[in-house]
Amino acid sequence: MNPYYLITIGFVLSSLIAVGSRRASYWLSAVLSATLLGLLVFQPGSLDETARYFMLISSIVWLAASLFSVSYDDHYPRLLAGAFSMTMAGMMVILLAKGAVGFLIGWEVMTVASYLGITAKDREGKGAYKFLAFGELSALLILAGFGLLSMGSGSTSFSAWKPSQVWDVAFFLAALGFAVKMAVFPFHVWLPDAHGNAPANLSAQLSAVLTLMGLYGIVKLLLIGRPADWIGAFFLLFGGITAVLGAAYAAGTEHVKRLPGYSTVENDGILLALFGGTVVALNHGVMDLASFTFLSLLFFAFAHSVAKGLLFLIAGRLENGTGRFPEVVRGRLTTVGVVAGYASALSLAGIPPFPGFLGEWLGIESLLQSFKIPDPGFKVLMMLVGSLAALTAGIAGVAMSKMVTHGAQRAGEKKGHPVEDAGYAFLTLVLFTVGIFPGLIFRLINVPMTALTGEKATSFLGGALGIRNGFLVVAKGFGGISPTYLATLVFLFALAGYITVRVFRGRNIRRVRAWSGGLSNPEYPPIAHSAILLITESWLYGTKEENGKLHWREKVNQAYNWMSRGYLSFSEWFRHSLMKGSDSVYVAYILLAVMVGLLYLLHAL
Amino acid sequence: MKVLSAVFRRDGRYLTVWVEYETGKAEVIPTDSLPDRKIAPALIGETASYVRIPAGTNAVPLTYGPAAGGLGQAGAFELLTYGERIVAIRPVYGYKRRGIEEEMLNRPVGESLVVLERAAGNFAMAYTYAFLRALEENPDEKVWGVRKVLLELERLYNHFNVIHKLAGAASQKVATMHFHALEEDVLRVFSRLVGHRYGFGANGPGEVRILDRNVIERVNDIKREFLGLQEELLESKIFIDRLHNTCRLTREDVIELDAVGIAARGSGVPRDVRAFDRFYSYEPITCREGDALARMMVRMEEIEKSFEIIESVDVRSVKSDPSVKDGLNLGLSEAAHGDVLTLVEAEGGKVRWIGLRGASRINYIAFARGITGNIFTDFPFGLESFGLNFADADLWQGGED
Amino acid sequence: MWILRGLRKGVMTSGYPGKVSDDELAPDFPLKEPEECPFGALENGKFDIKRCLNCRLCNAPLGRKLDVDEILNPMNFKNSLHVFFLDVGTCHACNREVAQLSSPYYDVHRLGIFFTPTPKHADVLLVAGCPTDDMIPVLREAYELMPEPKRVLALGACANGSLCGRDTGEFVPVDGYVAGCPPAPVQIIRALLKISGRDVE
Repeated sequence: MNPYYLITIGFVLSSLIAVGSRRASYWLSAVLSATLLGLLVFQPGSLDETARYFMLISSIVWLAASLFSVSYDDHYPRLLAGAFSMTMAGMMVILLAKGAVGFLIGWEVMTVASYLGITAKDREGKGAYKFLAFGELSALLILAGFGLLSMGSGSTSFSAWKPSQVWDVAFFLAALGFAVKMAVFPFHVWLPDAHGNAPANLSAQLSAVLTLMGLYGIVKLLLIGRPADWIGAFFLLFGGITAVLGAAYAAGTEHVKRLPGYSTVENDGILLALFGGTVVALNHGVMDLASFTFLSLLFFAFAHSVAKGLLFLIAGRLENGTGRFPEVVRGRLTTVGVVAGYASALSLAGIPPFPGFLGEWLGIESLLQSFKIPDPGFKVLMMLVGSLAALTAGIAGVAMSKMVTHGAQRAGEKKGHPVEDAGYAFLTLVLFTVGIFPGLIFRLINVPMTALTGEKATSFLGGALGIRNGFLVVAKGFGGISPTYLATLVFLFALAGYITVRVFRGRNIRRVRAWSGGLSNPEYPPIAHSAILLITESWLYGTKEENGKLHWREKVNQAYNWMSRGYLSFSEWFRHSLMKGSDSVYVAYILLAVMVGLLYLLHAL
Repeated sequence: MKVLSAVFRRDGRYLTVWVEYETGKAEVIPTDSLPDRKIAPALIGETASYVRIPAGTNAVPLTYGPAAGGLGQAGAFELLTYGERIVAIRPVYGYKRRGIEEEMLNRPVGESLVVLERAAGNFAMAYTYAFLRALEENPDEKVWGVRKVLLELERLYNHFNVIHKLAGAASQKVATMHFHALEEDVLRVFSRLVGHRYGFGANGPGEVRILDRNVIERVNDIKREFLGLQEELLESKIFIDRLHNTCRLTREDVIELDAVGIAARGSGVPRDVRAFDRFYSYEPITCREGDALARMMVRMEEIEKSFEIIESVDVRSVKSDPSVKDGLNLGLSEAAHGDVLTLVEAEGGKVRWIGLRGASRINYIAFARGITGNIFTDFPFGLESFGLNFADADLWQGGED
Repeated sequence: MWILRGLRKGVMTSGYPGKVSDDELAPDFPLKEPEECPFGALENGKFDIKRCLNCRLCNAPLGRKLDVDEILNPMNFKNSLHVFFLDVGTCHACNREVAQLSSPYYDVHRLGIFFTPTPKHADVLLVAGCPTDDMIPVLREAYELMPEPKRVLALGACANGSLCGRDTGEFVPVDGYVAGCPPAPVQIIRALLKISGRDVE
């Protein structure tokens, strides 16, 4: 039987085993993820290449999250462990689905299982409900889109679908559904609440893999046929706005889990913008640019998922008390954990030698090559979104440096070797490897790219100016960068400096305290890290400074809360004005009416 | 309006000094408890009560000092902040408590003067002026005329220093250097005029000692230079903008805190000892806005007045009756930043007990009030516009308690 | 026009090291050993110049004196010297004199002398003022935080024990002193040049 189906069944089994032993469930998931990873790398078999790429990213995160869960989940209800594995099963179904029905079944399983997992920690259920509500909204939109396409081509199988006159509308509906799952503005409000309140092992899955499924859906549709220009423009614009807002709110938030949540909103915004760019380039026949943008899209997704998964696993350990930064305490992470915290945050901030650096470069480089597009309107739009992306990268730096200085750096000095360290180490290793040798990933993108534009991803690897062939990433006719050489040179110089200092100056080292004007001072508070943004951009954050307290609330969130309260009170009013009596009496009436109706039917038949 | 000007401890009670700036009347009243004025704790050196940490705050207390590069002196500020904004702030006194007041006691008055000059070096002329006003039995018009010139010269170099500091804070690199050079010019005038760059040793009991009176002519060149620089500096909109609306002190704040000197005059309250000093005929200069710009404009007009006063006196060495009064006597003089007060008890021609109150002790509290709610970058503008220093703030009293 | 003004004013920087003009020093030091001193600068009949307050109450002839410093232990940093100024209890006159070193009249940057805001980048700790109780720990901390090689220069009469009786040398090892109350800028420059190892006449 197809080994992937076996693995999917294995995840379902792991979910059921959770009723008995949580540990066993997580270990089984870990083993299954490792097997899956091995298969995908060495013996992919007949699996569709696009699915293979996304499954590879997923399995990497799954493996680390499972190992982390072994030591993390020691007091949560069994529901969490069950939900954890069931979500993975659902995602496997999505990736293996050959038609709309299988896809949607997987989608629903994934959503419902995640919802149940979030409730394990979210006592009131508000974050979980928001997640479910928007999850169902996205399912509805996808159903509508897939439905139209199935009707148009007469079959629910993906291979039967082809571009038709309803293609654009259907594509837009489905893509919008996927985008809601990727937290596009203004449908992003569910993500920070859900991730903030979910247990960390599930959060890692939610951010790193669930949103990846959204991207998978979009890519799959794109490979079937290209949509109209206006769809590209829509996602360019909304992607850009989402990215900037996500970054800004990430930089301003005080909660250790909401910061990575907003960062996911930001990164998904960039992914959507890159998707829009690909569509625009394809429609205008600029194949080089389309390929390059597509490459950026897929590579960025890899970099984000791995780094974000790791960051959530770290944030899970930083969470203490109400989960705010001032409450972070020592003794939560071993040295491995602290290094992992640095690696993931720096990758998300776009610092070399991590893959986020190349991902950021690829993304901005694609959007800024908009001059290759003949249409002046799109030239300008794409370039503007490119500058928004650059701004995002800067603000993300503020957010990630807050995560490091007030988070990972403060929580070290844990003794021992918990199992989660294996997960941390594995993901950090992946980050370093892919950051220094990105070409390894490019090879995996060849087939999907050829299907889209006829070019190979590895054609974007070259050599020039003394850099060996294959180590220079080139945007053809525009620019190039070599993360490998950069990492090597920096490492060599650093090593040389270190040796020089040690050997020639070496032994006379005296450690002294920091100077703070003569006395010792308490640390600058975490909110001060964001204060400059919060105070100067108070129009964006709705900042309030009262009674010596600086605080803000997200405006879109407040709008949603206001709308939902309004709808609830309207609904109450409607109910009371429609049915003025006691509820139970009305229920009795309804039952009576149903019985009378049934009797009459029976009589009539 | 009676203003609480100083509080000392004597015989287990508090000795409070009240001043009425409109008439120049001053009263020394012993009380058992601290007067119910906001400035009273600061006058006895305790500033902890000026910062209250509001409940539920996410601001943390940070200490700026006492060896901070930006302050450049031994003094500290404790401020409450959540980043960028100064939520609350107070000066921390005590880093400069040297016990120097004790050294002034039980010596011939000439030697007490030497120690007093070295208590607050850049306000030495003002302190010795106030001290001798309190002590001299038969003040001579000619002696005090020359003493007036020395006081105004000191005012000049201190005002130049403040403008230099303000321009420096705004990165007006050229302007700040010009004013720094002007300050040095005045110090060189002192050096030749009196034999000491800060004027130490010029004032003796009943006499004033001048070495080379011709050097006073240099003051005309300094005046010309200043007028040109003033015009250039005020044309810089960027500079003016940094001072405008920064560290605003309202009239009500000044009255509540019993602020003195430039802090008061910059907010429209005409408190100036020279208005009722019998050796001066002087109208206080005020400005209503109360921000750093207002205080700088007051200084600039005072500089022009100082030049007039210096020109009006014939500067030469004069000797007169050196006898000093016994008993408890009060002396006030207007230093560059505000008035300084000396309460002296002499017996047999020697000082037995002394109480000193520098304007900084009060005006740092006014500064703290004004800078609350401003952001960090405005701190140097607020601080330098007052022209204070911690040596002057930490002076209190010496002698039997 | 700042440019025209600057050109008109010309170069006003001191000729020191080289020549010292009469404007740069006040005639406030005794040129011959005084026989009496009301402030204790005479130890067993010997005049200790570093405690001289320039009060001029002694009956000695007074004049301009440049060599009022003594350096016990110079460094070998001839080209650039980084100084951390620490006020431990001055009357503010010493602070003003040290600030004048950066003014156009003296401009110590031309001599390679720079002031740092932290002791961690400093070669010389320039201490001024009578060490007060609250500042003594700060003085010790600043000295501790300086990297080797380092020197301490006691500036002015107060830092050398006059008036309050506390000498900087009681708390940190002192490698040189400058006399004066306050020492004039050229006198301070002379001491800094000597402690950095340069020859001054």
